Amino acid sequence: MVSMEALAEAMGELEEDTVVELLEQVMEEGGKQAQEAMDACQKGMDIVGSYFEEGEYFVSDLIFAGDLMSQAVGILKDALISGDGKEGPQTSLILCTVQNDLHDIGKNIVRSMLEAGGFHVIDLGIDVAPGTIVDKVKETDVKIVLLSGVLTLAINSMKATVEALKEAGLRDYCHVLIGGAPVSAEYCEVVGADAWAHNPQTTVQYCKEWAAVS
Amino acid sequence: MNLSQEYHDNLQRVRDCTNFKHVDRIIHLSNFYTWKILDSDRHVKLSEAMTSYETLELIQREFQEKYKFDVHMDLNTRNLILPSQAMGTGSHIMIDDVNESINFYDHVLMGQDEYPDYKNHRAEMNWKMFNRKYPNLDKRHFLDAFIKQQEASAFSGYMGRMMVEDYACLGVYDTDVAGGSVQVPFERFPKYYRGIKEISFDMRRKKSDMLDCLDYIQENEIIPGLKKTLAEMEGKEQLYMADFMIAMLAHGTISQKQWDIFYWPYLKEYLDLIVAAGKTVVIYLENSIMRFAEYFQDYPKGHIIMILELDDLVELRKKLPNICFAGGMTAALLGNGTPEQCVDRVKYLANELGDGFILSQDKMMAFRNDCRRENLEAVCEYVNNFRW
Repeated sequence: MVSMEALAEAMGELEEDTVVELLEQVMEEGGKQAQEAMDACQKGMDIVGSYFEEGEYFVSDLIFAGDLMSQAVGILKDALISGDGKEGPQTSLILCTVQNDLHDIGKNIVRSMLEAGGFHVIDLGIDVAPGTIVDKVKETDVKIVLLSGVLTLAINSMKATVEALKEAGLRDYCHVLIGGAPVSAEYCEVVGADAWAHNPQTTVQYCKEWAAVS
Repeated sequence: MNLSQEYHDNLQRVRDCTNFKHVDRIIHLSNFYTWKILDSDRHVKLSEAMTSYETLELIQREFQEKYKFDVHMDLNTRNLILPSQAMGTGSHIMIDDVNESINFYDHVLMGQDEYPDYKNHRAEMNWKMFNRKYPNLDKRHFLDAFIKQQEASAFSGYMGRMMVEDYACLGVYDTDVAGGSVQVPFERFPKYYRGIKEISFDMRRKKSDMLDCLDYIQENEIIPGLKKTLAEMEGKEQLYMADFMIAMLAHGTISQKQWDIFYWPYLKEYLDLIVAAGKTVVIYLENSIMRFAEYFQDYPKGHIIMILELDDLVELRKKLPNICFAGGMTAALLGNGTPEQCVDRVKYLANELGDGFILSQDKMMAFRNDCRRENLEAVCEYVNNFRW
């Protein structure tokens, strides 16, 4: 039997060899602990988030943590698919890098942290036009839209997206957060978003608050 | 070069400011890049301007005649695209005239197992990476690109001299000095060869190989180059804003623990040598330096100028009373505020920071909405007429 406490700790400390070894042991033992192991990995990601908030970890650690989490899902996926561990309904949200911006590292970090936090992330990718986002909001009925960008050029696209949501009559039903290096309280006002964030933990916190009232 | 009295006066003003001596007016440093092309009444497309040295020169001249900056980070000489275009298909620069933007395709040019090759077989490794970046590169393309690069270098040199002689504008550092601009060894891997994502993996999975490589670069390239440059500078008068420039970007993604291992020891050695030689360095900082401010606290005044992006200068000043700052005017305000708000921001910064402060923009101003013309006009008019 694999110690889930040890697994969560190894994930939190980003000890890749230990995490992989413990997860492979779960699978070698028939995969019965797969859901438990997944939960332990998510607990480890919470530790990663805490370290980030404390300043111990930074962006590169979050990138590594995201990759380690993907590895964990890859190792456990067969057992998770066939297992009967049922999770409750997840809150879905839309995440993308806005039109005219091709940067995806920040977006992908946020995605990892949101997934570890129990959200279902509909990732529309990079360089996403306002119309595409509006269509997806209509199709999925999500109540949270996260817009990422690195260039100041992205601010225009964020603003255009919020305006497109307004025109489609969706703005009042959606929370919109903008994230990335250029965003600020000033730009948040210019864009007409509900919130802004430079780091994924703040983003996850906002999403949890909004999910609770949706 | 023919240096006017006005140039010498400007030079002395910047030296005094670096040394926290009181100066008669606010020094204004331009961090404007391709916005200059978009602001020009010539109404040329980005793609046209970027391929015409004649147009780039005229736009730079008109920009200076209109706004009258003291120093420029860019003389319309950054990202000269003709050499890259000449390298053949696979060119990584994208100019979008509709959205008025320049973007770059991301390439991971070096594999995670190639650090030893980079260290031990540099020429072969460079050719491999050339071919990965430009898959159709052949001798003809390469020769053509080489000629274009010579022309681009000549243009850059000409622009530097032109700004000095015709407008008494200071160069940031002497671009003709080979060791004038240096990066910490770590920078080249996330920036050019591996990317931020891959380097995040390498620092954990390939730590030993990486450190071997960084040590090799430092010991065999950076430090000998710096020492040679310092020897050449001996006895010569400093004619630029600073003697050296270092650009920092990669610190913005790494933890303090990683900074202590992969970054600071190399940067410290470099800064210590410059300061010990009595020279000055401009540190061009993308992202924020607040997390690492303490590392710079012991350097004496008069040697380091930081050009800042995301940091609150007033807050940073509390931690770094020894460093001359450039920055403070936000693109958010220049692009979205009113002329009055922008001028008020200048007054606030000047009052709060006083000596050891150079006004500049907090972003590399590249896109149309980064700045409204009337806001820049108001700021420049205020700054150019202001006297303490």
